[in-house]
Amino acid sequence: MNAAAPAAVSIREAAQAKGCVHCGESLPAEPIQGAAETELFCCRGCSIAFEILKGAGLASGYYDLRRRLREKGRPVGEASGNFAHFDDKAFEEHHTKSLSGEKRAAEFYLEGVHCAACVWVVERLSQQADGILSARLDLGRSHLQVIYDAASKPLARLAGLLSSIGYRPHPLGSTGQQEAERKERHALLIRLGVAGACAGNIMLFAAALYSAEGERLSAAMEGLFTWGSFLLSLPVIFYSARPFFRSAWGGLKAGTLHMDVPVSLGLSIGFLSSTINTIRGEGAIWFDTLAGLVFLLLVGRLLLDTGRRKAAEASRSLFSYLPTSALRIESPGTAPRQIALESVLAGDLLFVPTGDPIPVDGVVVEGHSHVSEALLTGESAPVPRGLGEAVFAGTSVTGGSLTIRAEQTGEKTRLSRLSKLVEESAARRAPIVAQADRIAAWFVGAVLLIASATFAGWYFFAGDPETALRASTAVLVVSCLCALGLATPFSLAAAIGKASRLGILIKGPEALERLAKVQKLYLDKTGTLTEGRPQVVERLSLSSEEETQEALALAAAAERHSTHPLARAISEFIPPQTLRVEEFHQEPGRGIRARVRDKTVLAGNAAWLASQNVDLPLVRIDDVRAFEEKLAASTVLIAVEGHLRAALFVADRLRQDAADALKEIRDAGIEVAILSGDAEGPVKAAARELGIGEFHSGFSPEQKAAFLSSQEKTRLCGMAGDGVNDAAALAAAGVGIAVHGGSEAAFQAADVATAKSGVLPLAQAIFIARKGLGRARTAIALSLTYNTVVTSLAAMGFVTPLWAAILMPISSLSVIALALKQ
Amino acid sequence: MTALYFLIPLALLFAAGALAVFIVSVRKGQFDDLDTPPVRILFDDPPAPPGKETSHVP
Repeated sequence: MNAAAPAAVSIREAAQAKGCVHCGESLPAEPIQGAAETELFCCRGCSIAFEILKGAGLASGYYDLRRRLREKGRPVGEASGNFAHFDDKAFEEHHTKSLSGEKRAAEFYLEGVHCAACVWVVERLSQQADGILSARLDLGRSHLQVIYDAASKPLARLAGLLSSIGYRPHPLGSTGQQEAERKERHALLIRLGVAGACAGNIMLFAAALYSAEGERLSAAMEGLFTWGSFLLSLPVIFYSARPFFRSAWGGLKAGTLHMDVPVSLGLSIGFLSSTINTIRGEGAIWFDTLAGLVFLLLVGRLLLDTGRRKAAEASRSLFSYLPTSALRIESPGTAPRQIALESVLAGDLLFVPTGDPIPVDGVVVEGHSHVSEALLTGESAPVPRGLGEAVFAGTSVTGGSLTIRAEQTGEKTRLSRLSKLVEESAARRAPIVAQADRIAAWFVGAVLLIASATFAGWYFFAGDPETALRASTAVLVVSCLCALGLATPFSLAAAIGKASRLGILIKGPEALERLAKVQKLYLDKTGTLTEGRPQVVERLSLSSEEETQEALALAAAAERHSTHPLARAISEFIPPQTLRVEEFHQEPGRGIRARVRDKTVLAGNAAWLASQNVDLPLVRIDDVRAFEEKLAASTVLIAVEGHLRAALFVADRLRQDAADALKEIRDAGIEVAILSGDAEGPVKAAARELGIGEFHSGFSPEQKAAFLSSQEKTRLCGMAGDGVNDAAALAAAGVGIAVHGGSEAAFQAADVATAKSGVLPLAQAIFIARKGLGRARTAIALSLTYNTVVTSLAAMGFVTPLWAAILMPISSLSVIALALKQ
Repeated sequence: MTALYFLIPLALLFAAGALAVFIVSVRKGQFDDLDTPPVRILFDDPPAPPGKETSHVP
């Protein structure tokens, strides 16, 4: 008895050290005791939860699953994440800015930010690092801004921490440009705010003036209202509307007439005549209409600006492929020293170890290696590079290591030029926006003509100078193409916004317009139409059902020891049982042999089984072949103790929604074809199952890109794909669509990206784009109609300031309502 | 009606105040990121600093 007591105590102690059985929290001094001695709980709630699980027979399964999840979810430390140079002086100079004293701010682009939970993890974790004073993650842009204490040098630690849980940080280049853009956006918002506040108050004055029309308002009161309107419209005209005047002036100097010209003209004439009438104390004043106009136009401008900014951000993240440091060989024979990328000068000798990205454009001076240039060329297979050959920043060394001499650094590298190109093409105006501008150009001429004709008509023929002035001013004020200017940005932004709520990122209005006009859609097979990983699609029993069941269970247990994709598919297919595997042998390319529960299990292809003396009856094998062909699958035969028992067919299954989605796309009049790098068999099977007539198999990435470029000449083609090997094709196609789960390179190269798996988002994206473009066209037509009608009314002298004040918002608001209703 | 001579400037003063607040908030970057703040309110409060522990609620 005496001997047993200490043992019991130690069991209890061990249990106590483990913490609460249910939640794992440390135990209070007097824990709650469960049925067994080792079942200790921190509280009543945990013990009840445990009893419920146990009563339902789920306790072992639940706790086992939880333990395994915890092990699987453990952060995988990345060996390549050496961030020591983040604390260097050069890094501090280029990537961070001083706030006050030792306080500095730095901004990073993080890989892998998806949802609210990421914000929580990143911010909480960052704040736990010593020396980090605050951390804010911008979910939309994946930008992390940290404020830190420079004295304790926390950045390298922080970067290591974030990278170890999968958020690899990339410092954002010199913050100057970012800062300038931020300021610009702030200025636009303030202009908008000023215009809104003033316009609102002017409208209140105007309402008083209009409602008093006819009755006698005391002169003092009327003076208060008109002079009040005048004073309030000063900031609107001279501050808020400045961008329009500046752009119109720029356009005139360059000899082009765009939307801002009639706007500026209407604003200045309207303001001048209203000011004169205010001083005179009689006549029409238009201040309310003018201020409302400026406000609405600024809203449109803000929308366009937001779209453009998003596109620019997307291309900027191309830089995240560049390393932030380089290994410089300072004197021959010594170990290379890690320095910040910014301190690399042309002519420096740099060492690039295997697996690392090349930091600058340069020439190989020593070593020989394969270099993956997928980012620049879309070519996924690495190319050999040796002495005297050029290598480019952003590509990575995949086998062997290189010593290179730096030639171009920073903004002069090919990658920088490329990303600038992407940014420029993203910032290009969508054709439909340009179209609205072209319409505006001849509209200006027409408006000027009508205004002069109106003035001349009333002055010379009717002999009424008062009406001549009022009517011609009215023409200029109401013909401001406010609704036209708002129509396209609103409809396109609304469509892009709707798409993004469905998890589809459309990179800008131009991409949206091309997506809407796509005539033929090419789809990659693996990963796009299919799940992208092999799964068991069919099971063929070659013996009694019982024997088959047993054989499958044994095989699944054995396959768990293999990492081969087929083995993983099999062990996922069969419900897990814990069987002890005594012996395991793997023959690459053929199969496995194992001893499980005292039985020898063989799994693999026919040749492997035959070599292990398994009898393979010809009739059976014919059955298997027939299945294999029908399913276009790989076959795994399973034998137990030398007898063939079952066959499993493993294939990359088509996505569930593929057939339906493709039907919708075809119904919309878009041709569909498969463009795959896979072998003919599986491609043909997929095409047959989906009812696609045209398919191309065995295409290399270059062939895909070349094929699309040639097709592109006859009609607008779309390409949907996921892999790095599709990146070039996505860029070559009129519209590249990167499918969820694809590589970063594909995402960068694409015009459209889906964040949800499946083929259905592709169809949704196309329909949203079509609808958005349709709305934009309707809105343009509607606003042109408004303008024509109102301008003619104004020319006839019917439009008084009151009418303008009513018509202008009605036209703008109805166009906006039309654009947003999708 | 003479009250208007006093009330209108007063109303404008209020409007100017609101505008000033808006300008300050823009300058402070409150409109820079409109996506994250709505999810941030869903997070629990950070753990209380040691020594100030709240009652243990499982």
